[in-house]
This record gives sequence, structure tokens and C-alpha cells, in this order.
Amino acid sequence: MSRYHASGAPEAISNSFNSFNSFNSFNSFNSFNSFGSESPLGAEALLTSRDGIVGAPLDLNAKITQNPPHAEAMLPRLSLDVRASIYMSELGSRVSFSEDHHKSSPRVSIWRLDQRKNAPPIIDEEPLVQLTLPDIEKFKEQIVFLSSYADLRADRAPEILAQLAPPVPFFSSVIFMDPARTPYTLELLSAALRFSNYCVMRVKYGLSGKRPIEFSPQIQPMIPTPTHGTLPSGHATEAFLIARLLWKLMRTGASPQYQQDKGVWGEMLMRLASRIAVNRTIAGVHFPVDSAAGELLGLTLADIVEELAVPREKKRICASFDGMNYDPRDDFEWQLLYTPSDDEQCSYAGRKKKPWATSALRKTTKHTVGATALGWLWHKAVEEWKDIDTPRMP
Amino acid sequence: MYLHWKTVKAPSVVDHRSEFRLALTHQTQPKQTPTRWWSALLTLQDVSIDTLLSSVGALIDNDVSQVLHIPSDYTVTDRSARLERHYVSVFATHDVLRLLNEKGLSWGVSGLHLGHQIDPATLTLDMAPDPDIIDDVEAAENSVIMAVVDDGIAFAHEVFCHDRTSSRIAHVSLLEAHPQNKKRPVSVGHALGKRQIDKLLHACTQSGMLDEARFYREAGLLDFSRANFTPASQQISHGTHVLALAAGYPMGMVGNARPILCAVLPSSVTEDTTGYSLAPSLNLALKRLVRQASRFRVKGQAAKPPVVFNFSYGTLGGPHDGTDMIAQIVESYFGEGQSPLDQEMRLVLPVGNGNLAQVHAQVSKRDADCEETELDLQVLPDDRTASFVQMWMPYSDQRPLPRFADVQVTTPWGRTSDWGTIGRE
Repeated sequence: MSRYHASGAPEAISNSFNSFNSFNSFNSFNSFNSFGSESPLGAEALLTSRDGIVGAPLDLNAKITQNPPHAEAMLPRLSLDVRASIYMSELGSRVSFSEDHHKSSPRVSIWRLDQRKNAPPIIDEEPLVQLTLPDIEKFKEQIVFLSSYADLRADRAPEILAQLAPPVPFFSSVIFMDPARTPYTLELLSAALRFSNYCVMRVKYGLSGKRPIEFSPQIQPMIPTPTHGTLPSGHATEAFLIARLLWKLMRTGASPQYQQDKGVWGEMLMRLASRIAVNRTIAGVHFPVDSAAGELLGLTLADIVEELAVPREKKRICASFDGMNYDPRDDFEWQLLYTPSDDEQCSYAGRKKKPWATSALRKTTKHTVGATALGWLWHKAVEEWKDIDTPRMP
Repeated sequence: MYLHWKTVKAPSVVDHRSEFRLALTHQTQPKQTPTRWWSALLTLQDVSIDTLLSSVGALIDNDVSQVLHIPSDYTVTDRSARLERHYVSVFATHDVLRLLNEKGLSWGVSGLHLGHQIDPATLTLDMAPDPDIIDDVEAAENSVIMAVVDDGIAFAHEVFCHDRTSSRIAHVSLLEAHPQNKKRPVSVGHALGKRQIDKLLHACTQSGMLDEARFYREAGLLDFSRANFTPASQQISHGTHVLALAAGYPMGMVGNARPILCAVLPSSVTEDTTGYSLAPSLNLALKRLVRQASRFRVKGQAAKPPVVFNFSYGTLGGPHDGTDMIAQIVESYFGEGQSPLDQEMRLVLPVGNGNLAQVHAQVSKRDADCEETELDLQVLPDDRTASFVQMWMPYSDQRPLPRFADVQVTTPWGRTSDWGTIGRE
């Protein structure tokens, strides 16, 4: 974004969206501090003020005890950025990364680190998710999509530019989110997005896929191409992560209005996520296969976030994306990987014997300690999607 | 820069524009381009399609069906008919078209109107002609069939549906789509009947919402893996608007009395305005829809329900006097005595957006008797695209042609050319 500000043009649009952007509204908390955070004027005033009222030293035996360690009750007393760091450490410390080659193509695996009570963490033997880069020929074949989709640039330009920033306002337009109404949901999304960025950048770095702009001088994207690798699409990862997390909250909240027609709310959130992903291909910065990989990663990360927040026994998600099995003539189709009506990832996509995506809920007997701060946040967020009970007349 | 007229030696061909266009693409496109296929509209005079095919077959080494395709829409009867004048849409390779365009072969080809370059993968070359008789479709009483020929028709829109998974569209032809139906109902493009559309609507509807991208992808209208531009993917598409104006009703409001037929023309026919023509595609679309319309019958009634066609395109070039190719095609279907006796057919055309006042000028006989007439063409100062001016002279049987007029051109910057002569010099 900072580079974009320098170039000028789309600044107005993205900034107008920023004011919408619910993350920024957290800044309103700073205004609590009316001096400004480290104002010399404030310090001087406090100094003289103390001088004026403090009086002679008292001989006090304060009745004070230690805080309970690691207590959820502390969390509401912490500032938002402190909590954000705690969630990040909780989530980040649950995964580890490795690289190898699969069918002579680079592959990145994300491993699950199980935290145990009174014992050091151990690495799960099954990867949480694995992503294999398609070979260069497949990317070359996908270039045709970039030129066809470019015809839609004029139609989609406002969306594409607005989606340079995190697409939360688009989701707030589908379901009723607002900093006053759903602060914990927005805080959860923020934590999940931070975690997804942490994972995506690592996977992109490990796979190092070339961007469309490097394949032809005729792509000429309408926005700057980010310097990180092409697969998976970060926008697809984020959008599908947000869509699934929100849908999980709405399902758990069990408010009747959100349960109608099996999954119409979830369906709409996914349609939006898909549109955000496709817009990146229209813009000229992603291949359709990048969106497919991003969707798989985003959906899987949403599931692990839920699993860490609300530990569930015997069911752990594991998924894989094998770009070597992806048919490069195929466009991106989100429905191949997920069904909103039951919030389940499809067991495979592509040919059954050579699928390009797989997912399974693996049985396990392992006990793992959940992420308690994240769990606290999750429950707070779920409350925001419950109906307020109508008080009964006495 | 000195302005001068260039005299071109007229080659001995049936149609000079087609010859120019074919030669131009041959010169400008890379040599390694795979065999170029074109659509074309042939005017056959006193010769049947079958006879033409055997004449061509006798002259070339190849199997004629692999280089010259007659759409399956032409039935065995159509193919054997010898008419005084017959407009036939064909698809052929560059070499075959140049051959057909040669004058003096006495094959009965009196006109060759070139259409556009096509992807041969949209053809099913080895398909047998359609049967002469096709199944009837039962129509409701007081039915009026609405038939629209346009491009980018988003035909799954709710205003064309009885309900979410039941379409009012009885037939849709996608002339530029790749054949994907194993039954292959048509040899050019792809066609879907109501049953197939409904099946697809059902398959692509989740939680009561139609996934349009998926629907159109599976129907063959949207395909980003090919370089064809698809107007239906845009926020606004012409064909959808036209079909909705002609035949759209709020979902569920109209019963079975307004069945819809539509044909989606290739968008490439209007992409290149310097010589591509939609005439062959239009002729084929009308042939197909007229045939589809003939299937409808109202129980116990002899006459078939009437059909209202809509063709909302405008042409800027041509003689503007009802004798251009499009007008002749329209005449051949809807002119006096052309409609079938048991089915009334009308064609509705748009008016008003062709900017006639700015693109048309006429010199009447009285003006022509004067020494000189000046005609203005307004060229916008920032318009850097080539501006074409066609000058159409009265029809003449005289050979050599009479001297029609002498013409001089003055550019917006005041340079004036020599006099050039139209007709005999």
C-alpha cells in the first residue's frame, strides 16, 4: 500500500475505504490517552501535579497479591495490540514449516506443533497442509486466462482498487459487522489475517512461483505486482479464511436468521471470497491456479484457527494442494473445495486417482492444549452472532 | 503529404471485398498460423448445395467435408434444392474460399460474402445433416414465440425463467461455443434445449442462489481459457438487455405463452469493424431459429403460433437503401411470400442509434445534374482511428460501367486531392 500511496491515483478510493475499515477504528482506543502516548507536555504536567499533591511518604503495608498467571480474566484488561501479539504467538507457535520436492516440483509443508501440559511441544507426524507448485508449463498454459480476464478490467476497477486493502468492508456489507456491534469478531479476523499472512508469505517464499507479469510483456497488470511469489494467492487465502471463519461464528451462534436455507449466508460469503480472488486474475497479478491453492490454504487455516480456539477431540484437518495434478485448462471454481451447508472441505478435487486437492478430518488420540487467549476471543466473537433473547414479561 | 488516388487492377473474382480481406490476412498473419477458417455467406444461383460440394470435391485432393463445412442445419432436402437464389452460410478454409471466389468456374456461386475468422474447434465437421422432420413442442394457447438474435445473452437471468430452475427458453444457440454435448444437436457451436437448461440451472443452484459464473461456464457461454471475448461476463451486456426488453417478465408472471428462442452470435463478428461481417452468422442463426419456431404447435389448431424476431444490430456501411447483405438476408426470411404458410413471422428492428444523420449522405438525381456537390464528413480532432467512406453508385447493367462521378477529397487540414473517377475513365 505504501508504494501505492506514492503513485497517487488510487489513494482516494482506498483511503475512503480505510475509514470504513474496521481495523482502524481500534485507534479510537488511543484517544483514551488524551495527552497522546508519550507527550513531553503530559510528563511535565504529571510531574508538577504529583509534586503538588503527593505529601510526605506513608508507611503502607499494601494488601496486594500476585495476578494469577496465564489467566483469561486478564485479557479484557489488555490493550488491543497487546492481545493481538498474544494471539499471534499462540497461533504462530503452533505451526512449523519445511520444504522439499514433490515430483521434482517445490513443495512446502506446514506442520502442526502440539502443545502439551507440563511438557515440551511435539510435532505431529502428519502435515497440516502441503502445497506443491505446478510446473512452469502449466503456468504458461494459464496465461491465456490473464488475457481473457483482462477484458473485465474496466468493469472491475473500483473493486480491484478497493481490495488492495484487506477486504473486510466487503464482508461487512454482506453480514452486519461494525466496530461497535462486533468488536470481538473484527479482533478475531485481525488475528486470523495476521496468522494467514505469517503462513502465506512463508509458503510463497518456499515455492517462489513466478508472477504473470514475467511471462509476457502483454499482461500489463492494472495494479503493481507484489514482489512475493504467485502461488498461493494471498488475497484468495485471506478472503476464504475470513469467509469461513465468519460462517463458523454464525453457525455456532445458532441464531435462527442465519440458519435458513441450509447455508445461504455461507454461500454468499464464499461467493464474495471467490469474486475477490478472481478480481486478482482480472487485475493481472494472479493465475487461476493461485486462487485454487489460496482457497485451499485459507479454508484449512480457518479450520485450524477454530480447532485451536475450541479444541475438539479426534478430528484434525489435514489438506494438500498438488499443482502438478492441476489441469491448466481449468479456471478457478471455488465450489470444488468446499460446501457451506455443512462447513466441510471436499475430500478431493480433480481426478479421483490424481487429485489436485485433498482434505480429510483425521482421527487422533493426541491431547493438545488449546490456545486459551484465542479461545476466550472466539467465545466472545460467537456471542456477537447470537440473537438477544427477548425478555419475558413478568 | 500529397494526396493521390490509387487505381487497383480488379482481379477476376466474385467478390472484391472478400478477396481483399482474404489476401490481407494471408499477408499479415504469421505464416505458422494453423489453417485459417472463415465463415462466409454464399449466394447460390440455380445450383444446389450438393452440386456445389461435388464440384469443389472434384477439384481438390482433400475430403471436401474437411475443408468446406455446410452446417447440419441444412437438411438433405435443403441440400438438394436448386433455387433461383439461395443464401447459404458456410465455414471454409482460406484456400477453399479463394477457390470459390474465382470467377469463371461456373459453379453457380454468384456471391461470396466473407464473415469472420473462426476457431475450427467450434465445428463438428463429420456431422450428418439434420432430419427434415423434428419433434413437435406443445405450445399454450395464444402463444407468441419471441426469438432474439444478439450477442452476450445472459439467458439464465430470472426474467427469462418460470422459477429458479425452470427456464422459459426453449432453445438457445451459442454459435461461438465449443461443442460439448455428446448428442451433438448442431454442427456449429453448441445448443441447449429447455430440458438441458433446466438441468443445468438445477445443478448450479445452491441455497436457492444460482451460481452464474458456473452456469455460463458449463453452458459454454463463458470460457476464459480461450481468447474469445465474452460480453456476458460484463456488468452490462447488450444481448441480455435486448432479450429482456423483448421477452423479459418478472419470474413466474407469464405462463407458457411466451416461449423464447435465442441465438448468441460470436462477439468477434462485431469486434473488427474494418471488414468482418455478421451476415453469415445472422443467416445461420435465423435459419436455426425459424426451424426451432416451426416445432411449436397448439393442440387442435392448424396454424402454428406466431413468432416475433428481434435483431438489434445496426450497420454503418452499405448502400443504405435496403439492398445490402443484411437487408437481403432479412428479406429472404421475412419478405413477402417467404414466411411459411402455417406460421406468421415478423422481424422487429431497432431504429435511432445508427446516427444516420452523421454517417449518411445522398446525392439525388437533381443534385447530380449540377456540376458539383459538396459532402461533409465530420471527423473529431482527437479521433486517430481510420475513417472509412463508402460511395455507392446506382446499379448499372452497362459494361463497361458508365462514368458515374469524379471525386475529390479535402482533408480537415485543407489539402485537396486530384480528381478520381468512379466508373469508366
